[in-house]
Amino acid sequence: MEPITECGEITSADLPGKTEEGGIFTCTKCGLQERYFYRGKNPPLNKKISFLEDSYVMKDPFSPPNKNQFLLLGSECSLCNKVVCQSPNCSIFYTRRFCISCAEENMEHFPTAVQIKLKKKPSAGKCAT
Amino acid sequence: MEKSCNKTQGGKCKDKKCYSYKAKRQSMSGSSSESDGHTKSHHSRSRVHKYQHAHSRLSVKTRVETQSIAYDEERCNSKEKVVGEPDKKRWRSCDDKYKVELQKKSYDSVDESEFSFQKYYHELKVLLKDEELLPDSEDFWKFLKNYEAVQKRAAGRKHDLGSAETCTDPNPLDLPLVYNKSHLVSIALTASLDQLTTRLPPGSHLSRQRLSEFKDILLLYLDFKQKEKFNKLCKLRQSQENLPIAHYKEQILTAVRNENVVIIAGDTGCGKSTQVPQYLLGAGYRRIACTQPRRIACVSLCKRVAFETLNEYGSEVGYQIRFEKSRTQHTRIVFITEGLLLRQVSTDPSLSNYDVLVLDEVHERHLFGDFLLGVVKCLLYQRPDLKVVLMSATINIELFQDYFSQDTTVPGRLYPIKLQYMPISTEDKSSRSERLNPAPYVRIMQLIDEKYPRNEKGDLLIFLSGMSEISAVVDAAKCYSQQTEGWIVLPLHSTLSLADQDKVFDYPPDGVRKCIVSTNIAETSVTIDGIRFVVDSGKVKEMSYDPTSKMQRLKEFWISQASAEQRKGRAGRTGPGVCYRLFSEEEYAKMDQYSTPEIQRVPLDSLLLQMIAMGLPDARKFPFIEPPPSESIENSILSLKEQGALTESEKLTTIGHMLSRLPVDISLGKMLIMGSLFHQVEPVLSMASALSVQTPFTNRSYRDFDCEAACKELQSDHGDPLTLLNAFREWLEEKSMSSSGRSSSRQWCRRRGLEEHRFYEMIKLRQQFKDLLQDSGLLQSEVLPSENMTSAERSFRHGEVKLLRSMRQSYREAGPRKRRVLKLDVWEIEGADIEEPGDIDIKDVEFRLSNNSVQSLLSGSTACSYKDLMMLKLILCSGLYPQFAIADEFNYCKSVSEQLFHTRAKPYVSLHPMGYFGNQPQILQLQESNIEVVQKRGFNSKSPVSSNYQLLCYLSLLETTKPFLVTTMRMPAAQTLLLFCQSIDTNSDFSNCYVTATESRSTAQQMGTAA
Repeated sequence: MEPITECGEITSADLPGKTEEGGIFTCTKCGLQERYFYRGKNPPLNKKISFLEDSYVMKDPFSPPNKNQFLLLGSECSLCNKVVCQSPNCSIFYTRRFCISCAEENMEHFPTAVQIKLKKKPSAGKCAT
Repeated sequence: MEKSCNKTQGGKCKDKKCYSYKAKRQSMSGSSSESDGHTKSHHSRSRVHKYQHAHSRLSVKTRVETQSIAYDEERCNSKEKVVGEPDKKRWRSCDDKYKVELQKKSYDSVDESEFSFQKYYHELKVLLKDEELLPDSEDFWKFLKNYEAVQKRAAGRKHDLGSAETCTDPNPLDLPLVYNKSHLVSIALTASLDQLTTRLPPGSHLSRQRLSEFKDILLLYLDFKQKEKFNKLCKLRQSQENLPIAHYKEQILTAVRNENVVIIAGDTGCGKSTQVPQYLLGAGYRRIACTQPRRIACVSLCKRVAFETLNEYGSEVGYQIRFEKSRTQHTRIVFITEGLLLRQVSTDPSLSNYDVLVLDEVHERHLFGDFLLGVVKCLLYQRPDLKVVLMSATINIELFQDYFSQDTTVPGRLYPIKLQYMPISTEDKSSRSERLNPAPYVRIMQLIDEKYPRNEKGDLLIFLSGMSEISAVVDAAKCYSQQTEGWIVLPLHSTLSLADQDKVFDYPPDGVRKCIVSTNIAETSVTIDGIRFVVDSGKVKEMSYDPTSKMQRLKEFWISQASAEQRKGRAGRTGPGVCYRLFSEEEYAKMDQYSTPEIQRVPLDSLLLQMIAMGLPDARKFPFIEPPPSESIENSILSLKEQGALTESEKLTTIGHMLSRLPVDISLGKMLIMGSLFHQVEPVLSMASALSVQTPFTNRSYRDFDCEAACKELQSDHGDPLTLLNAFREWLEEKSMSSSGRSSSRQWCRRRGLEEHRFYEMIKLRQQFKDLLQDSGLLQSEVLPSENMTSAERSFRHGEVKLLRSMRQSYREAGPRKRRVLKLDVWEIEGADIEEPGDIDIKDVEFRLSNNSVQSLLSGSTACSYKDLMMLKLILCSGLYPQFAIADEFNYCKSVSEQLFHTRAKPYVSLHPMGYFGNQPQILQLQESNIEVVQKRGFNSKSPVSSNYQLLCYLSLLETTKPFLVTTMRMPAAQTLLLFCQSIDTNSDFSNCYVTATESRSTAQQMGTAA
């Protein structure tokens, strides 16, 4: 599905000089499509936090805009560079982001606790497709 | 530099503290060099062993140690800064600080297992004050509490997971093999640990390590929150996908692209109302209007669609209803009532503000909906670019298909419903008097109790025709549930207070079912989730209209098959259900296929006037989807002529033009115009708005003894309109006496059984009338209120507005009313609602924000002197004329309930028992002392002669069990008739006189002495 194909609200003029601003985020695993607001490590709407990797972020749709809250959508897999959402069915973050296929391929290199987490996944239910 | 720092410390360190000092130094050395990660982890591991000797529960500690790597860089930087200032004092204070820290250390390690950040609540609170970082810090403390509890349990069970991992192979992915939860978090704080330390209050007992540990928990929390929000988003997208209509998205969009009119037929729950507007928005349409027959649906759909388009806090999705709008220039989708869109047609005949019109629920066939269909059909010739989407249930689609052309059918999503016909036996029918026998209904409750275990959830919805039927069944059902304690019985009808209506949405406690006993309001207007059983009486009380006597009739009918199906469907919204029909299959077969559309059941005066004002001169030729009876049209045109709104050639008069702009009945509109002409605008505005909304008096104000007594003082012996005005004025009085936000008016209303919401509606309507009168030049625009205020008043008002705005803000943030769990209290006192402390009375806030001065409203709602009162009554009459009733000559010898009156077209009408005169008819009767003896030749009259005869002027005629006059007011007969009549016939000495309103005659021959 394509919930928001063109909103036209966010233009690059809103954020001069920042990395990429706005666009459509599409998860290569589950197909989730959302319009992101910012991609990078230091989201401009909340100066109190930063990300350890370049992340796709949208303004938090569930809280008032003056609260400056954000919602992390996902990022690129550190091995295959595919865009994946943060759903545990699509990716895992362990110091870096791994898409679920890369993580499964390299299962043995993860600490046991993470392996357990990875194996538990399929039962967790599907995220939006 | 750092080393020297260590040395000074070391030197000063006492033996006792040596152990803790070591720990400190290790962490320091760890932070001093980035390169020797090996040494560091070695150190930490060896320390682990040491610790483990002393304390077996140590997982928390170890974790912290390994994490500090991540913050190395930051620390180094900040160190340099400190050292960069060669200030002796600083050094000393630094030393002291470390000493303190050392003490803290030992303190920490002593009760490692007992340690909890919760004890440091007040110190850490300072760090968490940041709204941007942590909008809800209480929520974080809850998280922390759980986290610590889990950690404690885990520590008791096994040792740290990480320390068990001793794999030495080089990791090809370069992943830390010591598992640490915080590695799962991709968020970091921009503030360094040092920056955090400085933010702690002086004298804090928390060590750096602890703080770092705390920081990690905070990050875990933030990560958890992100996941939570992300899940919410995924769930939303998934639920949208799962709607039946989602499969038709492309089909619908293609159809809209290629055709001008698209009909989407889908049953309840297929998602058409929420999804189709979003699809259109997604496809690039920018100015979308979605009409709804009900105001409440506009608001709730707007909320839902805004949420689903992730625009909850924007204004892309808005609504516009009679008194409210949330629409701005950014609004792309607007949910609007059918009536309001029609009003827009009269100012913007081609509706150029919209690209797409979505007409929802067209199958309900409301008056304005039907009219709108006709208007749209005409509009399509004018605007070939306009897209129209009709949405309906799968009822009578052929009608719409024939009327337009295209269609797309979307199957609804209903769970299977078991249908059972259980006709009422003849003995149940015949038992007792007129009152409905509740036995069959209670038997079904019993049946449900026997057949379905209590732990299986599911509520019961009973459809009955009217209020007396509801109260009969409610009483019996309550008796039954008192024995079983398995039911909470709730009535639902439109005259209940809104708070009581809201109760049907609350949850019953476990093992108890709700039994909602409702009129047909629950058929479409109110949707209650969780209904599993439906009992359908097959009856409805519906308003019909007799155009000749201008009387509305509320009569009980069999429902239509379509509406029986709709009722049945209410059982299958959330799961499989059962529908019990208290009629036979044969009776079902005999029912009408569809319900009568509203246009064939209501007076058409206002509608026709509006049509003519819109430039549709001949209603007889208008392409109605199903035209109203021609008799009804002719009568309405005649009546409009009588009112002076139309000329003989059916052209709009000046007054007609003004009337067409007022969204009220013709008679009320006329009152407003007369009020302006006679400079009585303020009280007339109040009166007209009080008469236009549903009455604030509820059943309680008539039945409950205390309420009735309290309402006594509001009554006026002039009649019901004045009583309403009194209530409105007293309510304002109550408002003016209390200050913002702490209004006692809610209490005041409750004590009298009044529905406060109606007063707020009156206020809004009053303002709307005022605006309309100003727009049409009948009323001078007001000077800005701030201009005649003193500066003190102005600054007071400024402060008040500021306070009110902040209250409104915090109300909005608090979110909607939460559903509560109902109590199993069978004989709960009606209306005895518990008010939550700290509740913001949002309506009071809104009221005070939009009304500068309650005082001026108050003075505008009072008729002080007798002259003012008479003037007001006369203006009222001028609007209502010729709706007058004259007393039957034998009333004097009849009881209170048997009093009869005659109107122009309808003889023998009774007084409504809830009206003032229904209880006090003696006030209308002639007193002995007022009878005059006329000694005149040739004059003979059967009835006594007096100048004190009175007439009743009434707002409407309504037939239920018998015809009633509703909302009546007394007027002196002779004077009133002479003033308003259109012609007078009399004999030479005026002993006989006939006054006439156009064609028909109204006799008034008893006013002999007038001349």
